[in-house]
Amino acid sequence: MRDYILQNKKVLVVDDNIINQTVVKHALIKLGAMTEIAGDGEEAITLFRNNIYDLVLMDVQMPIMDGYDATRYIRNQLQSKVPIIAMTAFALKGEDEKCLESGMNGYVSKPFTLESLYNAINQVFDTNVIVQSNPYILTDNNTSVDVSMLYEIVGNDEEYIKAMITTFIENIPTIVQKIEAALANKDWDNVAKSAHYAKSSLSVVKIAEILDWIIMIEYSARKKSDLEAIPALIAKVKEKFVIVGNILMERFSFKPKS
Amino acid sequence: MKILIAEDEPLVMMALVAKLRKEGYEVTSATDGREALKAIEKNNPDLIITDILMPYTSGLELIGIVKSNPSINIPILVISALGEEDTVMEAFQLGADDFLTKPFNPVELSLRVKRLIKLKSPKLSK
Repeated sequence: MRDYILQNKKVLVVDDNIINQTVVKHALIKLGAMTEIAGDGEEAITLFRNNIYDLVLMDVQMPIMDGYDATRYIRNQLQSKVPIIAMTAFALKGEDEKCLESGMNGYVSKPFTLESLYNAINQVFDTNVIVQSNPYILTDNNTSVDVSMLYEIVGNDEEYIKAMITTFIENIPTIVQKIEAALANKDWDNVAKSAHYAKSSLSVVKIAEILDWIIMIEYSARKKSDLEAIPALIAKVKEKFVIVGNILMERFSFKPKS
Repeated sequence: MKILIAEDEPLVMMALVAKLRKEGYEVTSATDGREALKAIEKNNPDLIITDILMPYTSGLELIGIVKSNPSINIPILVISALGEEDTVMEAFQLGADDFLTKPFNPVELSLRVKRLIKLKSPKLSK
């Protein structure tokens, strides 16, 4: 059972290699995470000062500031106990001790499988009971909506945030309708295109399960495989979106006029 | 400093505009590649941020047109969605300067924007 071990968790990936960044990001998304990327230790620390993370995946060898130094900085200067997992190039002798000494909580050797990444995360979470909770993740009815990005970007301009939320609430049903219309015509290209478009909206207001289903719809339509699964996925998206709509309307007090 | 954003998804556009205006950039927006080309001609921006999949003229076409024109020297930051890795490589081949994947981190966005603008004009004089 490795589904969504990182559901609603914000993970910082620190790696200087663009390919690795992408590979790791995708593995994490499969586990339900929201990810952010830094290209070296210094960038990681800049991001760290401005964000709350639940987990850090740290490459050890990087330019400017390596993983050990960045970890020491996070532990000593920033006084953070966030779980940090090292990504080491090889199972080099002594590498594991060096990681733990610098303050990391675990490690995986690259290239790693989803399974070994999962195991490393599981181990670290087991021994770290402290899980930071983010006030911008709204939860109700088994559903979480992450609106932290809006606040990070807009700050306190509640009106602008409301305008964005309104756009989101209006946008998703329109896209779902487009997917359904294309589906009725077996127009797989447009099913994929609309699903792809929905992913953009969901990159701002983040809902892990809906994003996952949308990705599955897009993939099926693009590869023309598992097409019979699409209607059920659309139904799930619609059902979940009703709950999401309620959560957002409640939080941003769009009250229906009575 | 002027930034042109080409993005057809309104929420992502609102996010980009809010973040970059707050950083003090002068931001122009275009909802497809065709509009973006007109805006480039009119405003001569210092940086272009573009989505890949857009109606009329796609992000890739936009990059191709801008980068094959020797009289235009504007860095391009591509904002791609998940699952577009192949297309990102294509964008680089066409001359894109950097990329960011949605969901993007606002701090990372501003760091990359700053770096691209600095690379374009390392010294303001001369």
